[in-house]
Amino acid sequence: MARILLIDDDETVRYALKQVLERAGHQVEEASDGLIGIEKFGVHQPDLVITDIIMPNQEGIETIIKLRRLAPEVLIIAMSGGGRTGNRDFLAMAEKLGAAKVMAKPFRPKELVEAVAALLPQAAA
Amino acid sequence: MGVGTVIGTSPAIEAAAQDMLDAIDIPAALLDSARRVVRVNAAANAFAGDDSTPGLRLVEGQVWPDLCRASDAVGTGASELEELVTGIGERRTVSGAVEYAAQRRGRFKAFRLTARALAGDGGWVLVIQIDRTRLGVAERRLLEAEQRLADISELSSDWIWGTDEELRFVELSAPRDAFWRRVQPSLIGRSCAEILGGCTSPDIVEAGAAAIASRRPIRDCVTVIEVEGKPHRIRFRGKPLFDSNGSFRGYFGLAADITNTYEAESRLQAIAELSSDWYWQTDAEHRFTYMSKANPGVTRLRSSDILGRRRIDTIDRARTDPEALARHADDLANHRPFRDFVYGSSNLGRIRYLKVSGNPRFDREGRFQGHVGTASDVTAMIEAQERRESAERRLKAAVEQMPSGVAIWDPDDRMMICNEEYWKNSGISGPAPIGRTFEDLARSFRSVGHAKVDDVSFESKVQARLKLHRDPGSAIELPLANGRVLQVKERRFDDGTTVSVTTDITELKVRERAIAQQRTLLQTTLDHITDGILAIDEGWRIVAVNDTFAELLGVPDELARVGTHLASVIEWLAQRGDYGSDRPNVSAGKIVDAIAARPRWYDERPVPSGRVISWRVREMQNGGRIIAVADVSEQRQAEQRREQLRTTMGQAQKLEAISRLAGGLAHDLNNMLLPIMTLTEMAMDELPAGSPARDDLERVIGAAEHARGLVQRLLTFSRIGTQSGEPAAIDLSVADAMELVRATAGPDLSVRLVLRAPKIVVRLGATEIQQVVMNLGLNAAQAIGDRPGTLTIETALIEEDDDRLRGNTDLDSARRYARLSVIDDGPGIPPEVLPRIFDPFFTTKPVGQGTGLGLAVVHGLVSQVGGAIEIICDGGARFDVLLPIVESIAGQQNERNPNGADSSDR
Repeated sequence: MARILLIDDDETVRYALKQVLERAGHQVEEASDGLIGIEKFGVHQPDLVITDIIMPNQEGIETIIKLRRLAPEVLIIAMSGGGRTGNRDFLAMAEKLGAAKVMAKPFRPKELVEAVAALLPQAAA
Repeated sequence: MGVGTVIGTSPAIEAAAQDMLDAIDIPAALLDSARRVVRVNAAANAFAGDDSTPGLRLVEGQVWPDLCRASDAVGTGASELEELVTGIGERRTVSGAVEYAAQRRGRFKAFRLTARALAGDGGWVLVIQIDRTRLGVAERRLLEAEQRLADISELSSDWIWGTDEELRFVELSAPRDAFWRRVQPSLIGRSCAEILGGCTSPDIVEAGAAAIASRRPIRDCVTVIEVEGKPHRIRFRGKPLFDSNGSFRGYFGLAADITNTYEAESRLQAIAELSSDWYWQTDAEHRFTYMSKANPGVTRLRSSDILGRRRIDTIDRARTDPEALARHADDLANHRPFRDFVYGSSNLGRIRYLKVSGNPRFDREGRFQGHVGTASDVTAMIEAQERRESAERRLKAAVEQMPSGVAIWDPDDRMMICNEEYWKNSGISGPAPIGRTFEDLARSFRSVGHAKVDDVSFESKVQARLKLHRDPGSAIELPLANGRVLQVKERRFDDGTTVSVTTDITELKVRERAIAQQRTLLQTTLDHITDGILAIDEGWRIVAVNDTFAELLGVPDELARVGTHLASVIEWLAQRGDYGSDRPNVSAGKIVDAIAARPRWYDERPVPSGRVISWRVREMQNGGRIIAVADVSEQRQAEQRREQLRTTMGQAQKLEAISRLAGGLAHDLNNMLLPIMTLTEMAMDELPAGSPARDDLERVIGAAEHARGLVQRLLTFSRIGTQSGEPAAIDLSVADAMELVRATAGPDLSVRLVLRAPKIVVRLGATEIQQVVMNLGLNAAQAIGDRPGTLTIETALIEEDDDRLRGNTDLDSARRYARLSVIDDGPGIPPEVLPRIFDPFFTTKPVGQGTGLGLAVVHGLVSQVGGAIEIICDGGARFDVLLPIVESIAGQQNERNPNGADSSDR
């Protein structure tokens, strides 16, 4: 079991992913943008942050940078549904900024569970 | 020496002797026995004192022989003198005369010396000198006449003959001529009447016998005398001699051997008769006295009808040239010869023309004896001549009417006919020189200043002109010094006559020069115009064209020249395929018709050189047309570029908007798809296997997957304009992509891969290359559909001189390019589709089967790295993707796995 902070502005996405992760035995905290995510990261100290890139208030890249500043060892999975300039570029950037894994939306539940398991082997249920 | 010594007597006697001598009133002298003058009388002394010629003076001391032989002694025979001298010597009494004469102070003096021996022993001789000067003059004349006769006789070959009263020949002088020396002796003593009496001849007027009988002069009485067996024709002429009493003393005259002359005359007459038709003679009154027989076949009057008549009375004046007749009458009256007098005569009942020539005859005294001559019947000739003259008159009239100058030259090159215009053209004043030679005329050009050249050049010019005149060729132009220009055409006929025709072409030349200048001006203008210019007349023939015309169109020079029909040029262009290669002939006709149909016409066509040539045809006022062709390639290219740019910009804007839209859409869709897929899967997990709801949810998942693919493509498309991946080796990337194409292609599709650009790195990244190959390959596969077909994918380097590098404005001709071609043998691309083929969301596929983004994506990817796509449709479809080559890192790129460099999108 791991504690996971899920940051996404889309409530349905949060709901779906929370279902997937919880079913996989993880504890999920939600945040609807980067600012809230940083705030909740400080409160909950999660094992893993899964963050969207394009979000209101504070988008994912900035969030990743700030998280890495707060906790350099933090494990981050960045995900994106793409955008005007293309998800590949954001995700590549995220990877460069220290995201342990990047994933393009949409993905299969299994892919996410496997990715989490790969990053947190000790937490695997 | 004293007289006393001579006589030896007393002085009284001597004085008496002197007185006796002095009593003689003519010069006298006394000679002694030694025949020396011992005493002269007073008269002799007086004569001596007259300063006479020394030889004529009786002077003391003179010796008799000397006296006798005094100078200038004439008339005394030597024998007579000798007798006198000798007689005195023998002391006989002699009386003789010594006559002598001398010129004294220019006056003739004649003397007679008479000597008489005196009786007695003294041997004295008395000599008296008688002045015979007056008598001597008469005698001397006679002597001179005689001498002249002798001289004549000596000089003349004629025989000087004479008769006595009985008409017997006597010897007058010794003939000089050998013939007459032989003949004379046989005639002397014979009767003149006997010899001349019987002689008759057709050409003598009066028989000799009659003349002699009546003691009239003998005129040209010819008789034949045989000499040494040979007959000789002797002509006698003679006059009767009468003494002071009127008594007949005989004939005196000349005889000549005219045998040779006669024969010559006979021959002459024969010749005369041969050269003419007959031979005639008239007397001093011009009456016919003789007429020979006419040559056979010639009609003439009978002798009996004409003899005694005058020719002038037989002339038909109406048929005779009055001038010639007047001349003839004048010749007759003045006893002159006449030649070729032609007259008409009606005496035979029909008109005859006769031509006569005659010479006057004169007797020895110069008296006119009439004419002798020849006559010919020239009727046929005159009639022919009249016909000819009539023809010539008509010819002359015709020539005179001709607008050009005409002259006709006879075979001797003498001018026969010349009209006014010809003479006017020559510029020489005065009347036309009919009868003068062409050479004269040619030379007279100098005198009128037509030729201002030195002698040598002038002579060579004259010779050249004569040569041309004698052997005329084509027309020549003769510039005259007065500025006029003559065109001369000459023709020589078989009969030797030459016809010269001159035309004053000065005005023509002036106009020609003006036209030539205009033409030069026009041509110069044309040659310096950048447009090709061609002018045609109303008959569609080229009248002017410049070099640019042929150059621009690539038409052969020999076709684009003056005189060619425009249709030939257009036909040539049509044959070349300028108006469509399928039906060249029909097109050429159509083009000409189209041009003819309206006053203005415009057309633009590409020519094989790749240039675009415009035709601007404009009708001229006179019905011809001016055609200006111009190279409008630059304009068209510029326009095309502008158009392309507009299209490209439109495309870019469209892409921009769409990618913006697509990007946002994709993001949202992806976000929506995530819960759909995730929750559906989770819901499925809740359901037992085999549950119908689970199947439904499977379909939801499938649809979501499909949606994801669509969104993925949308995203790729929206990424256009962002940086492409690392340059990749084209052959390796294409080979990788091929596998995907093969995997998706239908079973009947055969896929060929031809890689000819090894180690070539292009600007496009490996992923993009694969996307290009995938999109084009799938597009091709879909075009082929279920039919069996072949898909060929090939790569190659584009040679630097490839036309596409020049023709395609998207490309930088300084760069090298590789080509990636995707070729199918499907149905091809309909022309109406081509312009929109790269438009986003444009698709020909049924709804749901295509997004319309594939080719738009390819176009975007290729464009953003500076490449280009060319589509060729002949049979199937062929997409040539031209990609710029990356030169510098070509080597390193080879070492890397082109796929390994970028995997993030997988």
